[in-house]
Amino acid sequence: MSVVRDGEGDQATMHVQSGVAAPKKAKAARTPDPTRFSPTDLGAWGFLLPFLAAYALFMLYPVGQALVMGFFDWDFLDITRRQWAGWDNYRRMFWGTEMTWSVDHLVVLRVIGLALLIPLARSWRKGSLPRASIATLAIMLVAIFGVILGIHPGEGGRWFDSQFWLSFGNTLLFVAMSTPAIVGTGLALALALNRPSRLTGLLRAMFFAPYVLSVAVMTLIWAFMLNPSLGLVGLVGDWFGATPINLLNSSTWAMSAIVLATLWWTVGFNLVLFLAGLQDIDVQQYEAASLDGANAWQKFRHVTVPGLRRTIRLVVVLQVIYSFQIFGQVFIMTRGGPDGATRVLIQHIFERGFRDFELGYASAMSVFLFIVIILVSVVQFMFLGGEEDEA
Amino acid sequence: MRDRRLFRITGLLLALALVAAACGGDDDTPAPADDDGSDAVADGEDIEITLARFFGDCDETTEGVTDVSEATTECEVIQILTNAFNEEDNGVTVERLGGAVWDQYYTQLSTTFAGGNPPHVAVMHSHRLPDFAGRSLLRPLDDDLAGADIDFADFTEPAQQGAMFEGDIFAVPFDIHGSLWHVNVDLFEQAGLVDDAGDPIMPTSVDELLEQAETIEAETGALYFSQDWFEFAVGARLFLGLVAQQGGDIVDADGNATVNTPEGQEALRVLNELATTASDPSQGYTDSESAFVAGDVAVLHNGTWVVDQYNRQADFNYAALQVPILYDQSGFWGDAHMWVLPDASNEDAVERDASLAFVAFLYENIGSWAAGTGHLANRTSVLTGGELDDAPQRANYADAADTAVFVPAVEGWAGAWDSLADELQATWISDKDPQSALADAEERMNENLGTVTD
Amino acid sequence: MSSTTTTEVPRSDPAADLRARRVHLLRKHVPTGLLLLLAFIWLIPVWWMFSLSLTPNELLQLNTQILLPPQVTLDNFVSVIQVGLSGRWFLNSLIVASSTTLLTLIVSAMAGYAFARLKFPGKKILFPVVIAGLMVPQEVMFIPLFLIFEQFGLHNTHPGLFLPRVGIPLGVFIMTTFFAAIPREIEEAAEVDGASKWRIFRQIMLPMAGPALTALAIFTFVLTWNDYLWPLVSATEREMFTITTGLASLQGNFAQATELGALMARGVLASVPLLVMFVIFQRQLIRGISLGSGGK
Repeated sequence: MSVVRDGEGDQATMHVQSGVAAPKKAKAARTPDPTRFSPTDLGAWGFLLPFLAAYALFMLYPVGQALVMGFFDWDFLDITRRQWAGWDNYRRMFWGTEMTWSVDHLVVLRVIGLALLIPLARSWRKGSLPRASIATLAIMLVAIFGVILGIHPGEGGRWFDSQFWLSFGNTLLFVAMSTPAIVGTGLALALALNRPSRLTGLLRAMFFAPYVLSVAVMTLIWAFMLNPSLGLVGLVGDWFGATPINLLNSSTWAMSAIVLATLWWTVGFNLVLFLAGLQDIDVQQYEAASLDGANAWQKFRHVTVPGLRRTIRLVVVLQVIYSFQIFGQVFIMTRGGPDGATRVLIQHIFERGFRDFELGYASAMSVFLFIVIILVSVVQFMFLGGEEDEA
Repeated sequence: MRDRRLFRITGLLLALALVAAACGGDDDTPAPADDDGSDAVADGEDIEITLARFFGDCDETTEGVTDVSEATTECEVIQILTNAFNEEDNGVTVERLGGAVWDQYYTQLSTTFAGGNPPHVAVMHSHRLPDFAGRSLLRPLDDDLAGADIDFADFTEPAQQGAMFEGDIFAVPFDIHGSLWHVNVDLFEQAGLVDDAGDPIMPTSVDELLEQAETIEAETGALYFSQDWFEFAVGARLFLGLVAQQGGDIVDADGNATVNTPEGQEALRVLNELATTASDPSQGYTDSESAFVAGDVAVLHNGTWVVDQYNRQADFNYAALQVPILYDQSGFWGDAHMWVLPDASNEDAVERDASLAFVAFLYENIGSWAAGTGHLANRTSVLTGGELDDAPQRANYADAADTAVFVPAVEGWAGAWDSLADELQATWISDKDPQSALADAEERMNENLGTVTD
Repeated sequence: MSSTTTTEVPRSDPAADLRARRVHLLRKHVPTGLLLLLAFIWLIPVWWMFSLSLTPNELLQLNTQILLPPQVTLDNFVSVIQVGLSGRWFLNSLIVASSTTLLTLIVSAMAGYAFARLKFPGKKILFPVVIAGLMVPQEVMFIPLFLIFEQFGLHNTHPGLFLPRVGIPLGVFIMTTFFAAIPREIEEAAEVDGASKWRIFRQIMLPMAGPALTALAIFTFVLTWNDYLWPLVSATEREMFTITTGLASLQGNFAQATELGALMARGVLASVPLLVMFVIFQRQLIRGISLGSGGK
């Protein structure tokens, strides 16, 4: 009899079960009262301390400083030019002159966003997701797409920082385009290569290989390759008798080219994580499913996906976090062009902070990005299997 | 079983590495590089000063070399000069700092300033000077130059301007580099556009320019013009030059951007004409260069740093010429490499004198730098003294050192230049309307320059 | 599967058998064949890089659209290896990446175990706070970090290069996820036997988290090796460059137009050690079919 492998606190999952009673009883007998100060707690701190020490010193402190700097007009190089600025940086980021609200500003985007309320309503009725989560998400959707996106400078007005919302929009676009692509490809590759043979070992190495290249080398290769007069794209064009355009030079296609290059470069990361996750799925569950007459797709849906749920959540959350922070390869390949089509928020932050020396303003923008990522991650945790990873 | 052993062995190796790191790693007093040839840290013998520069690294061809006539690249010239200085018995050793690729140089340099520990001597572009001088990070050199035998008046006018900020001298200029028109004389000849001496005829107006483009294309089939249209801000440089030729300015006396002017609109019109009728605006730096060297293009708008390279590579009759004057006066983009002394590291008189001694040595070798790299010498005495007579092509553009147009010396210029380049590029890449592009450029530039009112 | 109840022996049909075998072989090998084809296409850019690295720079200034070097030269590689300090840079990278990986594995595994299995007050808040550390871009954080290290005189040292990365919560996130997936029964059995948390950690949790540890080791090593921004500002003396900053320092202006072959050669040299490392360790990622439930 195979054992249910995902830990306690799970929502009902749809996988082939063949024996469940034992774990729950054991848990009830074992769990000590968490509020009692038991020896386990002391040991826990021992395990945590090394990491927490490094984290506090090398992460919390700099992040804290960045948070504080966001309230200052903080010149990177000149101490005499640092002064308290209160909310000025944030005002400069978000606001403009002659601000007004209208229904039709960015209307297409807003309609699409509000349309997401429909599937939410359906899942409310079906009860397939916790209602608290649905309510929270619905409120967020209405706030963002209904209200916030309608704000814009009116007649004769302008944004204080014209590049801020543009670059934030580009970052969002990148996240939306790259996440399903890179997660999906990583999963597909992991499923295909999850066998211990020499050949699959070679294949794993081949698909992972781009990940070991540094950003400088990777961008050099792709910038050249996509250039019709310098790279292989030109050769392929010759075979077909046409001259292809330089994707990186087209405001319509540059972002897609960047997503493609990023996928090629980083899918190895997801591939490795999914492989690791696949190892924890009990093989006997597949056999049991076969006995029950399941085909490949059903086995995937009812054994693999539930078994991988934690890993999927890990991969998606990490992918989103990294995609929000994309910078290096875009900066080198297109420098934000053409015509700002690929300027992402981190590039804007970097330029304001290090080219223009306005570290306070750059910090404020980073805080904004930080909050956005937290919100998105919270939503992800709500919807990708709500249980937390602790005991 | 094997897995476990593998882990153990790996663990052991890593642990050894960790121990090696803790014990063996160099701390704050490394030995100087081998090619210095003199003693290490200040022990009364040699004073060690640190130098930050880009230009790359070329130890494998310059190790031990001190004769600058053997240099063929920027890196080799500066490294050999450094070697030569260290060889001299002058009591100073120069240690090079920094591992930046040239486009990360300022990130690294700024960080050293932020940490309070900048190098003794650093190279800096003139368009970056205001940002550092304006923050009082550089030592004013007005009183030091005479004592170091540096004659500031010997520098050409643009060079002097580029080294000054708000009336004080903050740098010792090393060169002027700027736009040049690299010409394939054979193609001009084929199109009948050469004079009796066999020199290519340069256009003297925009109409002539466009006519030449037509002629060349008709007679030779080659495109007339190429430049990097999107990678680096080359289009913006031509814009600057054309505005200057009409007597205009891109920033006014109050520091406001003035690109949406009749001169600016005209300059942008010329650029777009070139893009649509005489050039291939999908070309970047590398491919525009390849096209020229391969003989497919009549004129390449690039800079002074590639003169020797094209001279070597071109299998056609090659000439490096000044940007033609299409309006009332000469005008083309120029910039300068200069040597600055960060204040924080030059407070001690002994170290300061050492830094000045090195910079003075470089000043004396400006001719060698120009000869070895193709950049313009910026000292009148060098330009007229015959030092550069043997260097190819220099005579064609030597007086450019007196007429180069630098970007405005205002703080925040780096961002403004990026904004301008962005908007200009939008007109020939995304077909943005030139009028609104210039208007938007002004708005963004003012944002960058801090002159926008809330 | 189905038991035959008839007494008839199925008559052998060689033609049908052959067809069946062929279909079986196709089904078995075509997917792998397709994957192999896909993998080769996938690596074309890498092949191109390798090809360019073997081509003389002068030829590349005229044409870069080649799949095979028109003329093979080792000069690009030799010129890198000849740089006196390149061996030292390589060693620096090796020391820093190895130290970071070892420390990260230990520290993250311990913290991951605590978050996944141990009880302590404030866990529900601490975990998100820890993960939030992933959400701040390095470009913003490195200045305050730079100033701290400046104060402690840690620039241009090895610890200065590997210490900051140990605080990155990626490892904790990964290890917590994978530790939480290990079935409790095994732990509980050990507890009943009187094992301490530390022994359970060492002798049960760690071995079972092999693939996760391997994954984390690979990521940490690669990410540390390729780190550019931090070594750029922290290790400014040439002897302390890592291979990344060291090779970058060799680059003159517009290097991609004048020395493309050399650039590619540097890329190859910097990447090959990582690939070798991956090939050696990726076997640890796959447990193998024979190890099913309870067999770990």
